[in-house]
Amino acid sequence: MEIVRENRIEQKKEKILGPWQLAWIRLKRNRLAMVGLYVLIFMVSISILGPIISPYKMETIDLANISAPPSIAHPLGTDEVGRDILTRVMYAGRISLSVGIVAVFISVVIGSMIGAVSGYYSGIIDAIIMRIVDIFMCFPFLPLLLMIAAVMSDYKINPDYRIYVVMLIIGILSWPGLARIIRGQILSLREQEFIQAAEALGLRDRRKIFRHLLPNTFGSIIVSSTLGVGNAILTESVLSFLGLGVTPPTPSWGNMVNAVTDAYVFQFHPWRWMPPGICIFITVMAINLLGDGLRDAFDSKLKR
Amino acid sequence: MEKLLEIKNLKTYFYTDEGIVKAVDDVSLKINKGETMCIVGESGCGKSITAMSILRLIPNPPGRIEGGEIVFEGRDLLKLSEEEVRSIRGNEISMIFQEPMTSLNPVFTIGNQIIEAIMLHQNLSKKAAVEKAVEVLKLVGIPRADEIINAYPHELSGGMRQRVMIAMAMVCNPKLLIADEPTTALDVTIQAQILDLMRKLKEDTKTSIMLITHDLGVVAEMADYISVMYSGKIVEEAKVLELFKNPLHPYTSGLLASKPQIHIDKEKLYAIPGQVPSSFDLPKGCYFYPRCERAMDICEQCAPKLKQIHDGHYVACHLYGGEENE
Repeated sequence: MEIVRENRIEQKKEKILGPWQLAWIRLKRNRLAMVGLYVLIFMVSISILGPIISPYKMETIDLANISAPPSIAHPLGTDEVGRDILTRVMYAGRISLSVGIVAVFISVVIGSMIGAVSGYYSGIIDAIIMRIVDIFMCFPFLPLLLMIAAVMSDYKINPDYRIYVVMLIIGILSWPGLARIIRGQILSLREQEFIQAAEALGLRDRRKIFRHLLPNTFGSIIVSSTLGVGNAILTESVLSFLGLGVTPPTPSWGNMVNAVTDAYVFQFHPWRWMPPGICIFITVMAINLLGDGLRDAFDSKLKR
Repeated sequence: MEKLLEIKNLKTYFYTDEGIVKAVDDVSLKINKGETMCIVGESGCGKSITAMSILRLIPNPPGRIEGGEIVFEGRDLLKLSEEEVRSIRGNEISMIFQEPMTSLNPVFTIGNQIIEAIMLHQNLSKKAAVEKAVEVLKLVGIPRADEIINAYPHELSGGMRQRVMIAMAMVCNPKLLIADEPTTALDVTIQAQILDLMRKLKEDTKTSIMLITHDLGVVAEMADYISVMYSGKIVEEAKVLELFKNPLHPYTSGLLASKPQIHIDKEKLYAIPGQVPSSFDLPKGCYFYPRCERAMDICEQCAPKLKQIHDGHYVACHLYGGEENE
């Protein structure tokens, strides 16, 4: 009888919303974050599609048109050897964005796995891993990067491969922060009853950690990695600006801004250094806005 | 009746900074096939730890099972490898927890979680597992099971979630179901439904149930056999009718006296005087001695042993003789 009653009450079919859909609905309400998302989508699609559509190649040299100001043929002008700035900015976007994404991917994989293992086992394993994290966090980030980059330059690594090395370095040096966050969350999650219940079902440790615990931290992983992409792009720009990251002829926003070091270019050829600078600014800004929005969207305590 | 599980002299201790806590101290129990055994006692008397010890779910450190045997169908669970215990957990012995609100993983649909339990212990294809999950959800009385299977835990009420937990526990047809205060977090009507469901499942599947509770009403309704625990020890053990009619241990009679009764108009409920002794500072003799209204000199000196008074009625109290043991 009671089943019949329950049936009648729940007859009207309601749409089932997963945690992802809920987060998306909350994100959509956040204007600033949506602006960030659209800007980011715009930058990404321009970077991917732009170089395909553009009539110039990024290394096409046009010596007749050196350092030309913006015109119809070259909307953003040309650089010191006559390469089209717009094409190079779009191509550099590919490089900078992919450095950011791959570096963060590496750091997320390392950071979340190490953090989860550390938090789950606690005790001596946790102590050892956290001391390693401490050591990593003690490294002065920028000097270390400069050192590795300088070594790379000394060994005359092919400029085509340098960007992969840059990705790897940034990724390997930036996981400890995430590992800390994940460890903290797993520490509290593992005391929850559903983990005890999972254990009572006879699950293995590996499955408990990676299937039951880690998905519960996806919110923070996404937020922290979104913000991380912005940081990685900035780091890459800094390195490339100093001539130690991605080196010409491969363009990146950082090494294009490098043109500004010439006082003459700084004063009279703003079209050579402003566009990549603005791109860095807009992209990182958009990523940070989106990241903040995601943080609010995934935080279930912030229900409105 | 045939024995399914027998615990002999189980000792589970916790090593904390303040000292050793003997959470379960020399407890012996047995559960027959198809029977419901209830463990009753105040909070912190070691009921849950006894249950967790059976599945070897004691967090280590700080806890450790220090001695005894847990014989399940002829095998000592304490001697099995971790791998072997895992194949028993959720399969032959499964467990329902107290708090249905937090016992389900919030990021997966309940179908996902039931299917996981099925796939883990049975060689079924994904499709067969889904069918089985729907079937078991129907069995525990969840309407629209084929839709609810895609629901997330936060969409269900406490009673529904506890049904899901029972479904998860029953899906592999366990021989023993350990229910750790399964109805404490639920309101009274839902409580009655859940108890009905468990009784029905027990009759249908011949599963033995080990029910942990502090609610004597639940005990009277469900149990065949009762063990009363106090400070990590069993103080009395009897068939349900016998114990309610003829409680021997002063603690048991105290518990029964402090139960509210609908037809007796009383200003104030009876309460056992004093407090549960601290686990670090247990009295030397009988642990109940400081609170006992019928304490004797001997109670302060030595702890009584569990002995049989009538057929199947055991009690650990000096009131019923037993000096000859010492």
